[in-house]
Amino acid sequence: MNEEKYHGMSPLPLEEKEAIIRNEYGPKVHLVGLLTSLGQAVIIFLPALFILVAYGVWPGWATIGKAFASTAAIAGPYWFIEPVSYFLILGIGGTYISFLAGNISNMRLPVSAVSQEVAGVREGSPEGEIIGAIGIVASQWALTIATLAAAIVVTLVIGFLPKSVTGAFDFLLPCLWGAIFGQFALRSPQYAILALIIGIPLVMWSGLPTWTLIPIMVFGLAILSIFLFKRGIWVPKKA
Amino acid sequence: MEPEWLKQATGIGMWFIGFLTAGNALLLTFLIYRRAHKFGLKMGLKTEAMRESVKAALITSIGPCLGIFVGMTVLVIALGGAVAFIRESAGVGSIMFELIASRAGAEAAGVKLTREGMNSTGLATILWAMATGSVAWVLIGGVFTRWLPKMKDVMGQGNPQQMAVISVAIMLAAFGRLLISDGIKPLLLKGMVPPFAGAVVALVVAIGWLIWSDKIKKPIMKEYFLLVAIVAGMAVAQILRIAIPR
Repeated sequence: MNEEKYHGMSPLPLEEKEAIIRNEYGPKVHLVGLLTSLGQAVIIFLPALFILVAYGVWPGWATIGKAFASTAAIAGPYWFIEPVSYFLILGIGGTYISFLAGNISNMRLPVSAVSQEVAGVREGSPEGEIIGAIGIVASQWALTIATLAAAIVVTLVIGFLPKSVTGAFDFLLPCLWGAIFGQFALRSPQYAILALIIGIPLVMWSGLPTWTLIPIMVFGLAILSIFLFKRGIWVPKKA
Repeated sequence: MEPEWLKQATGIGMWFIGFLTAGNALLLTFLIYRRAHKFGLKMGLKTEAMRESVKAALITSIGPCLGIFVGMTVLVIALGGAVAFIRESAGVGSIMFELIASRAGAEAAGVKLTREGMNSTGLATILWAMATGSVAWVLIGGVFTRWLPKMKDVMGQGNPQQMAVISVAIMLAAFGRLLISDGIKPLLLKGMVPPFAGAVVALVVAIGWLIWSDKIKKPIMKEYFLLVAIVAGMAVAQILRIAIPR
């Protein structure tokens, strides 16, 4: 049955296939991945630099620092957690594309899995590395078309929507935060209640600068969760 | 009349950067595809199998692409099509991150994240927040890949369960703070019911949708929970705004 499922596996000896990945495919992909990633690290700043150079708009280091602190307090842990967590699933080629172009959990992971399933290769094998990378490549082509279409279509349509509809978007953020909070509250209701008990007085009456609130709450709850975990308190039955 | 910041955000220069950003990602995909195809053949994989995997990947991408299409609406409405294209074609890709960065940037600049409340300094701050907040993903993924397995052990102290608990606590702290600021605070300070009601409806719908998806054993339905919850919350909030005159 397994032979049928893995009909796409190559008959070459495993050592030979691993040597191709390690000595030939890997180094070449590392090189192009490194160069394009470094290029992307520069490109990512172009929108802000464009506004600065073309229009002379510079918010100042202090303002940027505040915005960065709030963003980094949430995203910071995921800079490390995501690459670490997904590397073994995405493989070498898939990791470079995924961390350059995003949409990992909602697109790259399912695409990689389905591609390998359809091609009949085993996950984690040298064949899986190649097929997974090809699948992720194709997903980026689809994503580029979809995002370009969305940017153009929505821009054209928005002008025709009545004010009663576009006005609803004033409530987008509270609804988004409520939905995401609900998603994580489902996993740990105790920490959800704790976050509100600590957060409401902190946000409402502490008088602290607003940009400090996310780092304080994030690091406060992270330290508390480690403390409680080590004492066996609020430890989930299954991770 | 179109405000100045929106002209800057949707000008030809910004669209050019969008195509440059998407182009760099496409370049990487073509380079990797060529190498994967070449060494796949050398390894003994059949051309047909590789072609089938492309087809399967394209079909599998349709669902997530639809979700991204809908999610991008929010970003297009807030910051214009060009910025949305830059960030979603080859940025972090998460609408949630982009909105967090947008809100952080707007708050730091002292403006509101609405078309009426935005100005050029707010736009610039948001663009800096998006760039500085996401460049680490590109660098860690692009430069430090070979050292990643060692890092994992340090962060979770070798305990994946501890890592999972910390992650959930962090997310609840971050989103709890945002929920309080944008949903609860307006109610307590100004008696504004619609944002609070919208947030509560979105929260309840999100939980209900996720539980229901598990109950009917259709995890794929979870892809739509955020969209459904937000639309339900916004609809209730807007109806309340119209129904309750202030």
